[in-house]
Amino acid sequence: MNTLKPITALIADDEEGPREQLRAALQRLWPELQIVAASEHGVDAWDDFLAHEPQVCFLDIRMPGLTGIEVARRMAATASPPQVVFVTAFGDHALSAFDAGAVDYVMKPVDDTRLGQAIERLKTRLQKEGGSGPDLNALLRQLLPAVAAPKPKPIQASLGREIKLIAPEDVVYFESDNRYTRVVFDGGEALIRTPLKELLTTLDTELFWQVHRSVLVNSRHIASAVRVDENSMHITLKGREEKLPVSRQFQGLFKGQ
Amino acid sequence: MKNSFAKLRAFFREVDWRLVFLMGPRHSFTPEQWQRLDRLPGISPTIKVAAVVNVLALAWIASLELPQATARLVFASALLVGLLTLWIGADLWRHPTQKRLYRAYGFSALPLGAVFGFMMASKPQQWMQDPWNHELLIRGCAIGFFYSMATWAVAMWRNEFMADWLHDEALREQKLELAQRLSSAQIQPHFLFNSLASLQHWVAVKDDRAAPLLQSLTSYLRATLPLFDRPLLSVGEETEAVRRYLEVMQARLGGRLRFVLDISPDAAAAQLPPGVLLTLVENAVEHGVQPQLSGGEVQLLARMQGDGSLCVEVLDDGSGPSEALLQLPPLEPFAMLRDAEASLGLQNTRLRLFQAFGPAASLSLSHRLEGGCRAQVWVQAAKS
Repeated sequence: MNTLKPITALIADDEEGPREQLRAALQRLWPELQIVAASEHGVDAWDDFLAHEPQVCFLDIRMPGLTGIEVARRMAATASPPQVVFVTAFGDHALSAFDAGAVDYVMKPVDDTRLGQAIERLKTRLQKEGGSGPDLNALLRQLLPAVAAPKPKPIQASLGREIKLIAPEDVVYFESDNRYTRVVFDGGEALIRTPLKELLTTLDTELFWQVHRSVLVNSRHIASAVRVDENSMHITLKGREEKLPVSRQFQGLFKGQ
Repeated sequence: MKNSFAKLRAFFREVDWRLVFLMGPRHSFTPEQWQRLDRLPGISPTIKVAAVVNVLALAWIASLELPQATARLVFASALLVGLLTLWIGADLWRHPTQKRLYRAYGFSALPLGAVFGFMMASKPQQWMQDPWNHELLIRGCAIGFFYSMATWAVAMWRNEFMADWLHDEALREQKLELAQRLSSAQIQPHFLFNSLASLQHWVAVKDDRAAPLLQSLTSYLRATLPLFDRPLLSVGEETEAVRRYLEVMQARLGGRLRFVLDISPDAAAAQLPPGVLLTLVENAVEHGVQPQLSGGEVQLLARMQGDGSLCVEVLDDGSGPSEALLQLPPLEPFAMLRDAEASLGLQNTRLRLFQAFGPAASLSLSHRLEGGCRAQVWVQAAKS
């Protein structure tokens, strides 16, 4: 009778034990929930979110690459922000701020009673379909300690026998290409081995905008964003022919003023 | 010649010119410090009564042997000036700052100067001819001088007292915190609960990794709980605790953590305050290895140098120490409290090293050439 699509979830923890424990507990307490991804670190969590667009995300706070809070912030800025539950070991005091109910959290090792409560709250919120309010972003920003922007390192791309150093600001865009990343810069292009999702964490997010799961573009080179129809959009670049797709999640970046 | 000049320069460099020229209180406090200072007790009743008795006595002395009418006037005004000074003094007692002292001088000098100037200007000739007035002028000056010096002394003394008190207070807090941290055996709850989370799951699904993890965790607890009871511990003993810790982390992180322990036999017998190696290795794992997507390696190396000094190094291949950690603040409670950037664990470790060896021990962090962080502990050989 239930014709609704099952609710999808992502869980992320860099340690296998807690990750699998949470998965087992969720399967026991919420059998209808469909776990579409179990990510091993923050970078994967973000990438898996873009790939699967789950409605619920269980995020560990301390993860390499991107912390759970950083991932949640990125998620909150997309077109379909998920419900977030943080999973944390003892000692992340900042989380008590969430008691207000804006975002839920559970402690590791996860116990069934507490997880059960979190699940009930999730179900109510999902029914309301309000999504997480705009205050979530502000709250997360508060939690996230001001991190100094990483020093941009030049991109090292091998072109035949030479290794070319490309300053990040000279790059027009990055595009995933199978297991490589294509770097398009003023005066050429190259392939590098670093996956796009890892590059994401080392680049200045003010300068480089992610417009698609597999496209990262230098905002200074964007000429315009063109809406093609209800769902699709692309951007054009200054002085270049190619058009880059903007996925639904990121169309909010271009809203006009 | 050059030598004596240097000596002279060194001598004058030690002179506090603010004191020489009676510039007033030298310490200024931050708002947080003023808040702490509010905890100081107020002026005691004894002092209040003693001060008032002194003011009365001085006013009485000032009016001795004067004609009746003048004596009454002198007594009243000396009393008034005295009480005013007490009021100013009480204010300076609470807030002994240079600004307030100068303000007090300004406020009292202005009306006095005005009155005196007015009297001189109105009838200068007759005024100086009256011998009593001459006497009055001298007494007035004496009282003024006495009160201004007393005010100055109160401000100076109280300012120094407050600075000392803050210093002691910070030291006390630091010691208390140190004691608390030591008594909790420095087992990070984060570490414990994360380990238990893995354990719980592996027990539930009957994974073979459960038994060795439980064993390592038990050995770790057994090694660390009594660790801090002793003032010093051999490097070898603490390395065992470190090994257990690394085994637990390795079980949890899987292939992401690799480690090397290389302790030369003579270094293993050397003594260090408990927790030094463990803190450094924990930092290396937490900040060096865990943030890396593909994991990393931690090395603990200890060896004795030819001159009998001990050198311990903890190396990781992470992103290296932050700028703040390259230049650690001086080992002085104020600087340490101010500089919250440097991790508390690291600061405590330095403090413990200092308490055990004084300036003979040092701890520093640096970048490794091949990338990553190098934490280095040196303990100079004791001079016999």
